[in-house]
Amino acid sequence: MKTIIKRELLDHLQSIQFIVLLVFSITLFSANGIIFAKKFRQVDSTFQQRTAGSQPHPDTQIIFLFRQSNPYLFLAEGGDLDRPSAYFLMAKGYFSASSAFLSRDYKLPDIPKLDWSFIIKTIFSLYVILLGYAAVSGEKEEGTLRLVLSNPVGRVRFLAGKYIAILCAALVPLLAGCLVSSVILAIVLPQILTFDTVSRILFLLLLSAAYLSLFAFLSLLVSSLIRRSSIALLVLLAVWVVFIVLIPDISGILAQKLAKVPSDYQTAKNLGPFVQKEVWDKINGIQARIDRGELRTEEAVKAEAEKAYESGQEKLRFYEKNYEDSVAQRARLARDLSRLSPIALFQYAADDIALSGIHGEEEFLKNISSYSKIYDAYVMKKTGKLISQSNWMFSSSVKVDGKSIDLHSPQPEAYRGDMSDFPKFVERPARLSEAVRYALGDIAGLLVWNILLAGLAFSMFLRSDVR
Amino acid sequence: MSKQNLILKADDLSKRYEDGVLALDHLNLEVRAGEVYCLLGANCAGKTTAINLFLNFIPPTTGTCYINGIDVTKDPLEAKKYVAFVSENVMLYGNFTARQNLDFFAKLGGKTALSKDAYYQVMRRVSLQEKAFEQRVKTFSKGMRQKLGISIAIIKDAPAILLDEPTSGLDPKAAEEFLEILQELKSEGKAIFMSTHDIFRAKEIGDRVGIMKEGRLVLERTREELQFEDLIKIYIDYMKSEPLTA
Amino acid sequence: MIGTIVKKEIAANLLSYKFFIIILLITLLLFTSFFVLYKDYKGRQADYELVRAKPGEPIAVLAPNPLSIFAKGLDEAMTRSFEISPIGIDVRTGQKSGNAVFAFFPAPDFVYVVKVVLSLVALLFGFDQVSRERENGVLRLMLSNSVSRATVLAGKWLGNFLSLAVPFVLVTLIGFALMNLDPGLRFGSSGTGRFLLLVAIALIYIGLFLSLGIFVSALTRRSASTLVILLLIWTLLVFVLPNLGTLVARQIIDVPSVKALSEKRTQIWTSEILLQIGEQRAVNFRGDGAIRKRHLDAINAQLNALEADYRIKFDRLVRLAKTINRLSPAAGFVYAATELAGTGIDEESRLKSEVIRHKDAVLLEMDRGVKEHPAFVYRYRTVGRVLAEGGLFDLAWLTISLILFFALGFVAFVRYDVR
Repeated sequence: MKTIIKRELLDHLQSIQFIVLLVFSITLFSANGIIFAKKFRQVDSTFQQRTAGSQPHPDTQIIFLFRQSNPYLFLAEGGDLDRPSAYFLMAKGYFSASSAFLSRDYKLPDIPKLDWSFIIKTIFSLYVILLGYAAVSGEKEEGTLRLVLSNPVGRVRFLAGKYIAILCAALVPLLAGCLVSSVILAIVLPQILTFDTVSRILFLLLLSAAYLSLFAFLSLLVSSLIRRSSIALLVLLAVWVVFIVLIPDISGILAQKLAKVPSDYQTAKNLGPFVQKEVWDKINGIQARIDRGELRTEEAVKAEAEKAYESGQEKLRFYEKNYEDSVAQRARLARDLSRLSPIALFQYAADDIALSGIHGEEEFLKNISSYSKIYDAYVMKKTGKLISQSNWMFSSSVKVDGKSIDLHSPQPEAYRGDMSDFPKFVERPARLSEAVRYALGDIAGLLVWNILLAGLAFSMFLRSDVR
Repeated sequence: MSKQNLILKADDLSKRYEDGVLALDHLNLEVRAGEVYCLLGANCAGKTTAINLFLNFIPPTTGTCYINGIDVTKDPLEAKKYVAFVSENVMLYGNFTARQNLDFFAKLGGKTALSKDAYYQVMRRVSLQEKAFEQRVKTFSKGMRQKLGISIAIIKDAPAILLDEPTSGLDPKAAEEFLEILQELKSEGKAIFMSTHDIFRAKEIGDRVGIMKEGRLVLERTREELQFEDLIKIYIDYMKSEPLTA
Repeated sequence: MIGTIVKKEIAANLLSYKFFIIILLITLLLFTSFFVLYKDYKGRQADYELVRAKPGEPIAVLAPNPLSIFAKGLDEAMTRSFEISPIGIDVRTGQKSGNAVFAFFPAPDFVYVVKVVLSLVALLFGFDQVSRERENGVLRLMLSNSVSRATVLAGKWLGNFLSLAVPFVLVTLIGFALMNLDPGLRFGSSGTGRFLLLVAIALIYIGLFLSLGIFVSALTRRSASTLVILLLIWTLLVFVLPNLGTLVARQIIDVPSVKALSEKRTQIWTSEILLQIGEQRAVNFRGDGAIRKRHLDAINAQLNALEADYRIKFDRLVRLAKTINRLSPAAGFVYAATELAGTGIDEESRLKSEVIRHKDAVLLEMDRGVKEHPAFVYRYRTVGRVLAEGGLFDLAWLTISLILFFALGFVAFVRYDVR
């Protein structure tokens, strides 16, 4: 079998396609290194400026929390560069990003972000297909298959040899590219070269090997089934298109169908009546009670108004939260449906390792949630009360005994005293072991694909007609 | 020998490739109507180069090829009207049937008004099985494809036929049948030029036989002359002897 | 003679498995694309019915463009509702696409399928023609006849172009016809005309890649090793080059990201509101109307300045990017197609200007106390204007590129070694 591997490898390494891919890979990875190093510098300096060493800036009304710059984005950007990095937090756990209705007024055409996961999942998977589509069918066409198998070499060893050679031939440009990118990053941002980074890189490489391996098995399978190499290539390319385009898009559509999310317009239209019911009707109710004589003093009226406003605020927060949650749920559904494609499995696992993507954001939001309890305790200590807030402020007036009283939705007190003991917000990104635990499902999925395709490839080859 | 029925002529033909190899060295030969000329030689002796020059696939370094008196480099399209080509081991259009292949090449060769029966007749003439007429060529054996190849040449009805190693890879029976067809074509007055390894068949069918060695025509004999000489011995002797360019 | 070759090419294609698979794939992708975007359009239409301005309301909103089914472009951005109020323009979007968080590639509209898939198909097709026929000896056989190489090449090109173009146009027209069955979907004569023009441009684009494939095929001998080079060329032309301009422009012109802008807006709002509350507290919330107005005006002024500054920078960026990008046939095709459909960058920019103009007029009226405002009407540019404002350049460039590649293929084929 070693002979076969050596021959195959030599064949691959001497081919034009190998040189082309090597050059292409190094170019792409260099671009990746430069772009992400620059981006990180930018994002990090913004973050340092905003937090001036520690966050948040002490305030008992509203605080801004900023997400740390993520040095691992070069591995798998996961959409993070388009996500909000600033959140505001108020009492009673009310937090949100800049706006639930993030208005993207200006759009340039979307450039797929050139992170490692993109290069590997598209370029390298294609390359593995190119290496493998003629593995069996090509040898049949050239007549060399019969020649090889007329020697004492079993079919299993033959196919295994081909597989190993394909994988090695693909890993060489991959490792070269990764090395180049890492070196560039290390030069520009020496601070990110830690043990943690290196271990994440290594893990991603392992993941990539598993990913590319399944494509190798797929190519061998198709090559064994289809006699003519050119048709085999076509079939493989079609499968690739299905995995990378059709399945993700269809899962997005299905998610849209299955998880009904009210449109922005709908939500906005319903807001008016909702506010009317939850706030103004109650306030009008207060006026009615005054007129009936149930409420006499200004204090009583103000107390009732505060209660009404607070409950209104709470309801509004839930209204907003429901909307955001349903959007998030739909995104999760789309993700789960797309897991049918191995490319999605690889992407999500990579995102987890790089602490980016939807999961990364969820983790950050969990951090905020737990911090908000600490914040609430502090505000309670300093001001003695916690007041529910939302994006809205209300004010109206009622008449008590002919005198007009202004009623306003309560605002948290702006404590001006000593806040040197203000609790710091510490973001705790997941360790690699934790990240791996999250990604376990996706990793397992990749392994299952490998086993399945390997089994099919070998069984098909063993019974195929080699003439 | 009258000059009127001189169909193929190579006049002082030489070809040196870009890498310096001299593939043909001042080749002179003539093929007349009703004559079969067999060109023998080892691989890379220049036989295929000669054919490629006749078909204007490559330009000669010196010399000229004439088909029916037309210089092939000066007026290739006109010259090609008068020659039919049977290639060695051509795959033809695999997804087409035998008749469809024949139809296409007939039209290309200028015969646009032929009926299905005419095609069937030609294929019968070359002893192709009836049931193969409407079968896809990719299922054909080598012998069947060669027969189809010659039928393509026959249907063109050109005065000259060039064949490049036509019997290579054919079993004896098929080769024999092939030669019978060539005999018929010869008696119809076609000028036939054939490059081959096959000494036995060359001796059988060739009116004139030439031996090429390293680009040079080292020997030429007529049928009568060969009655008294052992072609096989001569050929093998030449093959064994010192290289000419030593 | 050329007719014979064209017929042979078409017949050979119809009889091959490869061709059948390709056509199947294209059909599948196109119909999926039509279905997905049709549904999307209907959804957005339903949203529009919810939000369209009642007479007198100061809302500027555009109905979704039916041609966006084929060329999505920036239609989603263009059909947002812009609610004008003294506070500023409130922008709302309809159904947020579930794909926003996930898609590897943008929505697969007709333009995208043509740009990515059909270009690859045409390229592989053209490539296959010459090298395969040489490898199995038929090319030699053909050329031993009295037929010039020019004729053979032209015949091959035409035969293969028809083999691809006819099913493609058929599927597209069927999709279009099916959509027309929906009474709620009105293309109109103008829309239909633009659609046909769009298909014509797509055909030029496909022909361009076919020519390129044939050209590369006539330059090379072994088809297996050059397949990789072909895929590289395709990747460069379809993915890298169209974005090169944007990348370069981004390096040259510094524009803050959308996210940064959004965060800045929130920052302006929050700090002003907090100041406002502080002032209002000081006066115990009496007479707070004047204070509120003052701060609102301050907010407006800051936001306007921010917007204006951003817009200038952004326009410069887009213009530069577009100039460089459109040299690539893929980008040129997308620009030509989207501008024609009314979903292109230039059209969107024009819409934005109109909205701002409308906003200024409405705000003036609001100041004067007018309660009923005229409706916002937007007229798409005519085809003539689209062509004049760059469409013709893209069209001409595509055509010239096609002719160029065909000529190169011709020259290469004439000198091609067929042995």
